[in-house]
Amino acid sequence: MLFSYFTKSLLRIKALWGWGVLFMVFYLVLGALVFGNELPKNLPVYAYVSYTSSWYALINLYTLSSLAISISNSIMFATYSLSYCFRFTRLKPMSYLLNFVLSSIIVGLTMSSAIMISTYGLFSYQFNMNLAPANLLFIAGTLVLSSIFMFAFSTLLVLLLINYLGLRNQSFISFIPLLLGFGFGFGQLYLSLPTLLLYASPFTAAIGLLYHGYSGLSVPVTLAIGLDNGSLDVNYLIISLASWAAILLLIDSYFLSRIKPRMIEEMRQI
Amino acid sequence: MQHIFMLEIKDLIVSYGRRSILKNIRLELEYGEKVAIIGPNGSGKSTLIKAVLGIAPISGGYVKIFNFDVKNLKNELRVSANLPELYRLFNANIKDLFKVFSMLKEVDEAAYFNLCNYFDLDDILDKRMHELSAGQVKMFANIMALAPNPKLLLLDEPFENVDQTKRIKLIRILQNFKESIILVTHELEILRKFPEWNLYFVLEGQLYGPFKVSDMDDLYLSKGIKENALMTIQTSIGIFSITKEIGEVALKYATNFNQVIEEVA
Repeated sequence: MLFSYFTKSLLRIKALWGWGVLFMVFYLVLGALVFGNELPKNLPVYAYVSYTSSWYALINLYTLSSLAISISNSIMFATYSLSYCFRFTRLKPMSYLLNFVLSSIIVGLTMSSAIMISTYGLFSYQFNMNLAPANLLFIAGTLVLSSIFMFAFSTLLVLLLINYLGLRNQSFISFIPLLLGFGFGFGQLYLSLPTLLLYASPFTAAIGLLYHGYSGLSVPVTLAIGLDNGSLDVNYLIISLASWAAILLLIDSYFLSRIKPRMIEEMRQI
Repeated sequence: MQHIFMLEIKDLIVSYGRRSILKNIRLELEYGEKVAIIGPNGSGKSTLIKAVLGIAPISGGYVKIFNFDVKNLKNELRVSANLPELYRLFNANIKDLFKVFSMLKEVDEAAYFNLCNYFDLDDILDKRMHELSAGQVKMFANIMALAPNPKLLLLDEPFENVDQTKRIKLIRILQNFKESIILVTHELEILRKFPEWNLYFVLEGQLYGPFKVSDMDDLYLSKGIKENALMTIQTSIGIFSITKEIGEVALKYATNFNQVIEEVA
């Protein structure tokens, strides 16, 4: 039942809504109303669908990464408490993680709904056609997997920081999920990355699956140029993302059970 | 058959970096035994509580609770402590923290709320920890430690910043508490309320004792090695002797241990 308290606490973080939703909606406004103007008016419908889905997939992943960063950072404030709780209460590392995973899914789906509705409204308005998501259930499933992966990945980075590197390096570690999201996102958008890398990377897998869910189209190797460079198998993308999420959660559980109590003062830079 | 202590600390060394905070600590606690540990600020009292909880870096020796090494202990519900940082599991108000920890400790949540009411602290329920005064934080942590009615209760300066009426109420609870307690403090005055308890001194990370709290008013601290010394204490500012009935600084006139050390040094 911890997840209900975590969720309540997360939903009250104004910065999360600011950076994770409002700032991302600002990007969508740019994608639809500014960059969207550069698209020729007489393209086939699937081109607009593909353009919209690419924006949606990238932006929603960034939303989830800002959520994951907020959640995992909160672990840094609880190192003494966790160390005590695993020894002297019935809390177990995996149950703590699963409660956080559940609240991260709930909050992730809530925030993503705002992103999806904004995408639908802005891009439909810009291109004057109905650009509704093709498969809501598939998107929901992908968001669940992506939320788990992003949470597990950010948590791993934070646990490495707590147990080995020291909290002073916190500001560097916090941006890694976002940086990787940007790197892989724009790589998949404009470059012809090796297929193996696209399958192996959980970031590109998540983007590909969100693209597929929104557009209902095959996932191109290079999002910006359509299927000319070939397409990706959705099943492999699902297996990749799910495997990453599961493996990282297991690793998190191992490091969490050995969490080192740290004074939060260590985070001070000056 | 080997005797099993509730708590067994043997040759314990706790170090932060190169600096040893606790040195070769030995302490054995029987079931139901109550111990007060007194020492000046910075002597390692709180670190000792943290070491017992397994949250201080133990670099030598061991701490065993119910015969299990604290380093490997998991889900042991019979121990609780009053360090506020133990309860910062997430950013919630006090009411929610009571509910969550009652669940995690498998205790009826009424135990937390009743204690809160007994201490006249109902106004803190909707506040978060960072919104509380120092005294309120201490009382919140005391409630978190007391509510599960643990077999081993660890209290770090439980009276610090606490007002007089709450002190009296807390003293009454501790006087009637049936299980084992380790209480660390620098306040000598308050200890006189627990004459039956065993007493240890901690100075520069070393533990000296046991004595009885009831004998405290007959004890003196003197500089150097005295012939009639019950025990000698080696510190970086010299050697001191604990003597009975005669000596340089009588503990009975002191209110806190910092003052004793200043006077005798």
